[in-house]
Amino acid sequence: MKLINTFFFHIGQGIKGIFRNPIMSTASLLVLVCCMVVTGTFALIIDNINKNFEALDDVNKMIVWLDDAPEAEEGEESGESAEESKEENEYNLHEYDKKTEDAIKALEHVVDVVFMSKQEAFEEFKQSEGSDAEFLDWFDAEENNPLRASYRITFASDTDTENIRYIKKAIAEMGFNEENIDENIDLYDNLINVKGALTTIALWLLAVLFVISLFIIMNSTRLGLHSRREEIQIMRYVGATNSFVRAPFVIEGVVIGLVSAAIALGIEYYLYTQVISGVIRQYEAIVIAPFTDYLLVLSIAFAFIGVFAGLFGSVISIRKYLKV
Amino acid sequence: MIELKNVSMIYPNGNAALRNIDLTIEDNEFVFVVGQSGAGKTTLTKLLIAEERVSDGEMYINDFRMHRLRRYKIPKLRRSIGMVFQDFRLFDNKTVYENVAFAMRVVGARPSEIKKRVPHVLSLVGLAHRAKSYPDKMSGGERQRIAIARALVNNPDIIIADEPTGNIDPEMSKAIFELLMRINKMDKTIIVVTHDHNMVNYYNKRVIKIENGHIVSDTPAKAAPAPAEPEHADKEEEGAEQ
Repeated sequence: MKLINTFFFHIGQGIKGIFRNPIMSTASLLVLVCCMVVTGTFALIIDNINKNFEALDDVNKMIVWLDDAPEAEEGEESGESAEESKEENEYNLHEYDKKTEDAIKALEHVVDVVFMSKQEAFEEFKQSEGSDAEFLDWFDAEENNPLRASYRITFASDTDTENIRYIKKAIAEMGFNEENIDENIDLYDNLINVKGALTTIALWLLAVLFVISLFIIMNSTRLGLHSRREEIQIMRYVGATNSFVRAPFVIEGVVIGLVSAAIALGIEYYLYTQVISGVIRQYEAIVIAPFTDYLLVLSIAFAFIGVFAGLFGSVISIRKYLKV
Repeated sequence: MIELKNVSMIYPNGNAALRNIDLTIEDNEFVFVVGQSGAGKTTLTKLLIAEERVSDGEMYINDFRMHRLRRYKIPKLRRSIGMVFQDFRLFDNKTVYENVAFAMRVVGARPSEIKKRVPHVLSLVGLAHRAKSYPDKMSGGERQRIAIARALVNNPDIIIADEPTGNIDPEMSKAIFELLMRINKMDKTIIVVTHDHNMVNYYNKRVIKIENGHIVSDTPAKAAPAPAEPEHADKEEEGAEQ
């Protein structure tokens, strides 16, 4: 009962403290809101850049081209040699083969394998060219189709270049000519490097912003405490324990932190849905994630920053005044 | 009982505020501490409430071994001492009632206990009718009475008043001293640090004079009991916790 009384007394004192020092409370609140909004906006932008990189087509794809099967009329000798190579190799390197498809699918990091026949490739190309496809009238999908059949392989987006090389090598070992295997290792490598650099910069900036926020919070808390040092002295002289002195200030800091988090979340919502999305929507190629994707994580992060900054700021700042 | 044995207090800057002080103050005594500014009076009060630590010697307040007092025990010590300051040190944003009740809150008193005790103490200092007023709207004498009520509310054994009439007109000063005398009769030890020689001469109480960190005279009150020999053999720090 005694503890409950004291607890509610501290809560009351903490909340009263906020209104008793409105200027300092507002200053702390504004500083926290600014830091959270800057940090949050930066994090959201970085995450969207990353997501757009991941969404880029063909970056995590590999194409294995199939050579046309040798013509039968070319003679007995060549026919024999084709037969021989077929016997030597258990995979069909010229036509669709379920076994080949399954073998590729079984490779680590491969998530999908799609076979595209010569005819399908011809139709796809024709469609992609649209009205400029008139020159394709010279060709026929069945008769003199110049395009080749292929396996389109998709691997996991987090696959590193070493593993992509491993996939390529494994496919080559199945009998495919390495020249017939197309990948985007260089582009992929560059993207991974850019992503890595962006993430590193983002993390550093976030850390710096967080430290700056904390520093400002601590200073504004310290200023607030300085104006109330007599109050703390009185508490100490009447026999208050350190925790009793600290409690209302800590509660005050935490409440300010939580209110700041709620305000920052509201501002962030407006900024993201109205300002950032509005600007980015002008560029069709860039996809922007909905705010709801971030709502939970942002709420937790802001609440954590608010509570931590309030708690840490008040605990550190008050130490000096507890030496009375 | 308060006992200082060969106590010295030297500040970090090398200033020796008190040197080789031997002093015993019995329970329920009323003592004036006088001396010029910088003589060491304030340092003595600071030692008594553990705001400063003795540099050398031994010091005891009831069951507290002050020269070895752990930091976490300071609040407990201060709850057994009521402190009255020249500048009152009141919460101007709290009412008279809240100021006095706050001292009880600090020690974790129950609300029902606070409701009972605070009006009683306020009537004792003659401020029952001003319970809802704010200190900054009151006279110096009234403010000092609030401070005395706050010092008294947790029923401490000792009350230390540091220049309690320093900011009060002579008429009010007498009322404050009268109040302290009355409290002394409630079996409280009262230590008053003052410059007010008129009051010191008026009341026939023990007077300790400090100069340059030394006790230069210790004049007993005519009716004051003779100081007893110190007995510290059984004063263990553990005892203070019991």
